[in-house]
Amino acid sequence: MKMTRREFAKANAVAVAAATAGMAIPAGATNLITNADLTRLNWNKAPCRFCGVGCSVMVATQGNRIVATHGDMHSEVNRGLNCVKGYFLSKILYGQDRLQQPLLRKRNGVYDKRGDFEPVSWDEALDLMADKFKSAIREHGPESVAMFGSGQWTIWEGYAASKLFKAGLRSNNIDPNARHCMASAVFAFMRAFGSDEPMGVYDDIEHANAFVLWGSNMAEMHPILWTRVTDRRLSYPETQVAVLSTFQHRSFDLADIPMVMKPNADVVILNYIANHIIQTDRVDRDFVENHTNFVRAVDDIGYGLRDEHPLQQAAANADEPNRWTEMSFDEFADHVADFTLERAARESGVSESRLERLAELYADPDIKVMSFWTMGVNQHTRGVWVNNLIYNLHLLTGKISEPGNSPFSLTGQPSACGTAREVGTFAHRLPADRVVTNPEHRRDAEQIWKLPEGTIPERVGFHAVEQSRKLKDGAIKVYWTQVNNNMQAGPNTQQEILPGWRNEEAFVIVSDIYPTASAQAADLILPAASWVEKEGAFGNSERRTQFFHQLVDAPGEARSDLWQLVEFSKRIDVADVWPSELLDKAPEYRDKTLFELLYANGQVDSYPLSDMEEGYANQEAEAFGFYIQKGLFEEYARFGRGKGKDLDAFDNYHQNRGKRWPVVDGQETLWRYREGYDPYVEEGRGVQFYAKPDDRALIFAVPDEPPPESPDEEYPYWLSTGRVLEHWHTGSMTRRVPELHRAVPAALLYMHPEDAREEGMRRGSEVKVISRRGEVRLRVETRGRVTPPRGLVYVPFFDANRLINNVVLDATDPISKQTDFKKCAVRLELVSLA
Amino acid sequence: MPNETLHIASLLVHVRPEHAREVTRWLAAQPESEVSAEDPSGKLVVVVESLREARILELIDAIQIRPGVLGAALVYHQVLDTASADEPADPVPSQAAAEGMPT
Repeated sequence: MKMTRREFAKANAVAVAAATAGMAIPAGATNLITNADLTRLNWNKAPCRFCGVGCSVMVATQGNRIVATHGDMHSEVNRGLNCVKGYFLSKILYGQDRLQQPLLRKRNGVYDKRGDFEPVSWDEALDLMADKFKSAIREHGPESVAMFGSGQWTIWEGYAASKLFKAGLRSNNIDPNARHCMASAVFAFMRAFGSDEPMGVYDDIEHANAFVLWGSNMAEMHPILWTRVTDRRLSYPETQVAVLSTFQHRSFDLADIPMVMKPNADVVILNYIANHIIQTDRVDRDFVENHTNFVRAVDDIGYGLRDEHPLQQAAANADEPNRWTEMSFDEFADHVADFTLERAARESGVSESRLERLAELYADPDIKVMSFWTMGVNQHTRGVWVNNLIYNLHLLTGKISEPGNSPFSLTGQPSACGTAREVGTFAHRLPADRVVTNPEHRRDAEQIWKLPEGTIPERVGFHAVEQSRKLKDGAIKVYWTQVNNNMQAGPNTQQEILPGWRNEEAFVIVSDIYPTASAQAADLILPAASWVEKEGAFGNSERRTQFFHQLVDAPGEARSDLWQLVEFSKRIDVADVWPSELLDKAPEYRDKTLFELLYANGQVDSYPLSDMEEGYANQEAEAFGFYIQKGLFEEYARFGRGKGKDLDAFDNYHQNRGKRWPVVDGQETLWRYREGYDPYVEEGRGVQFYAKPDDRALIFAVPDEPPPESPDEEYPYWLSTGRVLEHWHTGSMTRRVPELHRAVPAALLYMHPEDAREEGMRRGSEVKVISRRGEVRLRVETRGRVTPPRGLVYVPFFDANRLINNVVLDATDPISKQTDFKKCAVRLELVSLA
Repeated sequence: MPNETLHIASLLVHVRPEHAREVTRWLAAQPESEVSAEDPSGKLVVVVESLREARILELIDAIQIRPGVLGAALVYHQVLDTASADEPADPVPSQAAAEGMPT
């Protein structure tokens, strides 16, 4: 039978979709054939550059352009599926306003903070930057320079940046935007288990018979994982799905136990569930006795506001919030006994029957339960506590580290795990869970980096929100941001962020691919390369490290962040930025540049260009004369090998669809801490939380404390912010895809129709959303896929023309320093009824 | 005449089984789309064929808001030249084979 191209394409489309869903392939579609045009394209794998799920996509290039993408059928993560954002990956690089040359504010031919942007050469840009960094460090010390990086950095970009700052410039003032996103998860992992990142994997989805979403809208934010959850729910009808949030969203469509709770009530609900498990005698005694300790966290820890804020002054433990004391099981039981079902229902607004059904998902020993959470839990003034409270439930019942029983912290960026967390680009971290405050950890890093003792500063650097405050206060003189858009994404923009960036004393550099809100507020804009315009590596939420090749060239003079960092390092001498006492300890570095100290150090530069896989361009390697990505990766990998964070050999990752660490003897690890799965667990131990000194995980007793700001007469509504499916974060990429922009062009104010009626507003009305910090104008939406309860309004933050972060409070979790974007108090004012 | 393109895409739609018939019927009535495979647990494979790429997105949006629909994910997308779409297909290896992977 002869088929036409159209018929072949349709048969192919059906066959691939059916195979993806594990469905029988319809007759006539089994013969996978496609047309000649398509096979002439050059196809390569790459992980998607949007969320933290880490879908693999096949990328087709023709000439020097990406022409198509589709879900990678050979990926264990997405099995051929693609979400709407992933579908349009081929278009994100080709917006009309792509930055193609460095731009500097100038007047009369020289740099002027009040000047207008003019094109400059890379040499002029980088020379000026080097001057600014050197003079700031000379006059004000290394704490006067700072960098804000990203969970979208590739692994080697984050590593090169962290090394540049912590070892080269000797400043720990480097923090990733993952601070806004994952910091609470990181601290809770370290507190409970002594090692960051989940014990489980996505495979848990196909083993679980209950799913609980704690404040996460996976249907829109992690759609491909949600498809797997949906598939499980439909294929095994006894499966239960519980969805808890402060407003109703798309994930509720699948919910068997839907729950809309009052903001901040999660602490009470989680403590109630622990109480329920104890009261109904379903504690796994054996597990608890052998593998856990109980501790009481310090309370009254403040809200991460400026020190002089009255709420900070009033908090007893604001200075040292990350402490705890030992307690017994009985004391823990007493502590949670106050959290009764009746109280949880009253304070959360969720019915007793639903709360009890939720509690049973954890308590019933025959149910395998997977907990998912992201920003609802992490962007919370008690985010670390809530993370720990979720682990409590899994630890009390022993439902952890085995197929289907899985507390699973999701991530929002493609390499929040791989780069921000594993490389340790936080202001307090070093690679592989080390911290700058630990002398042994600093020494490890100094040895691997061939640096004299005392190079890495001990003091924790400025975290994200603190960086904004220090810029405003004039303490930071030079500020460099890469792959983020903090002018739009950061909290309290008008009061805390913009004044700092425009501070006369500050020199602000933004590396990006588009003229974002941040770029426009900067003094120097550096045009960046993105995604497959460079060789890269990302690490996803399930510890999977994935590589991609450079497949096309960046446009114009755009260069990757890696190239920018390393090229910059050539312009600074070690003697410019190190004190003489340190130089005396290592006189061999006296006449070297930071490039020679950090990158051409006999390690990073030890892989020749001939090691590169044939047929792929590599702009940075060609520019520097050695296979720099491999060199950086192999040096970095030394930090984790033998420490439970082992990565595979560099070359393997280009061939496979990623592996989940620890990778020991080429074998990935699915369930950490469980004998038979994790090679680090000693024989006969069954379960071993080996990153803790006594192999025991911690169960935390925490109280309920109020949020820093709640609705009152003047500001009667809760405001929650977040994303929508079509746009990713600040929309700098997705808003340049016409199809996505048309689908959701402007941010809307989602509110309950009854609230709108009472306020004299209706769908389409233009209103002002006003807080104590600022205001923004938006149109009212009373229908649509987000349905807030009475008293709460929801606004997404993707829209650069409607900056909701002007309104948001810059309160953070005091332990993790992560901003709470999910709750503050606002009032609404009608502008026009429409 | 400029080259027109023909877009062929497939979607995997998850639907609550009790709504499957209704959703299938609705889909069958939509222009440029057809339900090509069904699974009683609530999975549908939908193929879209359109001269407009935006149609694919519009259809996904429309499907997503049907009662009982839990999600619609894109799986496959191919762009054909309309001028040659009805010519015999070359018996060339499949895309998957071209990628060097088992089919």
